Amino acid sequence: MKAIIRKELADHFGSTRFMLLMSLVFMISFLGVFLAGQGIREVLAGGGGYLLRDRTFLLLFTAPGAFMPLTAIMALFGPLVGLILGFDAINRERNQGTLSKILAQPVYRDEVILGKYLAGLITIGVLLTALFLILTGLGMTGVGLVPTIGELARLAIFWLMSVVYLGFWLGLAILASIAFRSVATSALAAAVVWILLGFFVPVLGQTAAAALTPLEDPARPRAEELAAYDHVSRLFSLASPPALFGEAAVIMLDPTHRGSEQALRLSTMSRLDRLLLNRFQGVLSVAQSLILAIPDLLVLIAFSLATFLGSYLVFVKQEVRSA
Amino acid sequence: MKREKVVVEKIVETFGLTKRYGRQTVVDRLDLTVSQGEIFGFLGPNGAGKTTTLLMLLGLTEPTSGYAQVLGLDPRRWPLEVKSSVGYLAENMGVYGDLTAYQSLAFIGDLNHINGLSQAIYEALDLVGLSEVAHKKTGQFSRGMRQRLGLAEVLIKNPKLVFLDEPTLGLDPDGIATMLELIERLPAEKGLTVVLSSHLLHLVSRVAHRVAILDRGRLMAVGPLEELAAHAGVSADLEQVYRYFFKNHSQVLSEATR
Ligand SMILES: Nc1ncnc2c1ncn2[C@@H]1O[C@H](COP(=O)(O)OP(=O)(O)OP(=O)(O)O)[C@@H](O)[C@H]1O
Ligand SMILES: [Mg+2]
Repeated sequence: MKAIIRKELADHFGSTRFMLLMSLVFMISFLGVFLAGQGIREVLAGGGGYLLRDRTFLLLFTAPGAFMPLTAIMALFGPLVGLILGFDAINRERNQGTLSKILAQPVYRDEVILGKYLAGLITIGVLLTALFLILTGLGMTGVGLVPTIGELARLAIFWLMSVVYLGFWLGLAILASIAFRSVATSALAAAVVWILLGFFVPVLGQTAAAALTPLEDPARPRAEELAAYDHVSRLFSLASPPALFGEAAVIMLDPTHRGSEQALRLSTMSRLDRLLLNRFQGVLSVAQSLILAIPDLLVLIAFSLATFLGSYLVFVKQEVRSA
Repeated sequence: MKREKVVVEKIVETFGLTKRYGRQTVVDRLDLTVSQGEIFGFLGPNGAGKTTTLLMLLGLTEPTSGYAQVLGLDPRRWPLEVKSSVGYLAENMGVYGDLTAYQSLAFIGDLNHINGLSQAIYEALDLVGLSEVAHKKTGQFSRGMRQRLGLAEVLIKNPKLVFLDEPTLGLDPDGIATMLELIERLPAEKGLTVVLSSHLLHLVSRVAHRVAILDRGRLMAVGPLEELAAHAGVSADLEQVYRYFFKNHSQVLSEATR
């Protein structure tokens, strides 16, 4: 399997596709962090004294700015990285006639998938490492924020979460590349799932929650009503890796965030106000945040395993020749 | 040109090997043996089931019924063991266009855990006459060069048995001659057993010690060409033998009945 990983890595890093992907990711993330940084700088300049300098660094990644916070960018557009690295993994080999060549060598079929998966995951890891280092440097020099040890630890965990999350999309793309003979079809299928899970399911969840748990007095919602609403929409977000990742990411990067329930109670305020107000409340330790994020992470990992299992089950039954 | 081979060992043996796709029976109760050191011609028209048989022998597709022994092992139970000693040149074999010939062989060698890979690669390239383009990308290779590279990829494994599926497909006459010369040298120089699948009769008849004729999944005849010719009462020309066994579908000849 090492041989497969080595070859795939060489393929990834030598490809034009990777260079384009790299620039795309950098542009979007840079934009997000830059705009967030600008907002923070304005607040700091405007005498936002309560925004203690040693706790603001991670705001770069969670503050909405004029575009989107980086966590949301990662949740919604990160999937493209995984999809692009995987959508033609198996069907390209099949179409160019190299699949039967590999499978005629002493390797198991699952080794071929796993090798490609791991190589993609390593590529994602390298890409995100470079990205995070650049963004951190940008935050330090551009906005003048210095991260604390705790913030760095949170960032490291967020990095790992992001790798796992993009890994899910990579696995999904590889599954599509096995299920569909045509490269174009598998790319399209992967994109459909991306739109479905990333955009459709969360909106559906909110719509369902609003329909199932009507408010008596919309001006002053009661706590039980909000809890019920939250419960329903959470059920839906369990089926949406982007929603899961988005929540876990915010929990991890924002020490004041205690999960969606509390965030909901503050939903009447504007987003930045809410974020700033949160600063007055208790701050969670890294471990406490991690414990809050773990259920979401476990579901994400289960999703990734499911894509791999699916790939394996489809692949072992398939004919080597294209049918 | 052809050497008579003493039967030492059964390298391939199939027992009622059958493959159905849906309701179509593609390989029908095939009983075959291939012996150590021979060049075995596997003949039949398009769609006869040659490739399907080879895939079953490699464990790349499941037989519907019956079973096979390759180098004494059932490829379904011992896929890795079988595949590490059997080389397979697939029909319509593709290349990784971004890799050079050397890198392609390095990848295959890597997958087979070959020791002293670099030397083995140059030897294999030399054997198939590709030394000069070792570091050229295979995407720029001609059809014939690709086919030679495919053969090198088969040989680098140090296999005991090779399956060559239409190895002369798309080659010019010169290329065909070189390929056949190469194939002919393999048993003596490398101690290899060769199964050569083709529908090009005259080519196979030039190198094969024994041939099997397959039609719509059924084995029509198997044996040395001269014997089949004698049975058919025609001259020892494969073309005529071939015609005979297709015209007379009732005249199924197998080693068992001979
Ligand atoms: N995956 C598949 N699903 C259904 N039928 C298949 C499949 N693969 C092959 N077949 C059928 O099996 C039959 C035998 O095919 P096979 O490729 O073994 O023939 P062949 O003797 O190698 O022919 P050729 O000389 O054209 O290579 C054909 O009728 C083909 O249509
Ligand atoms: Mg064939």
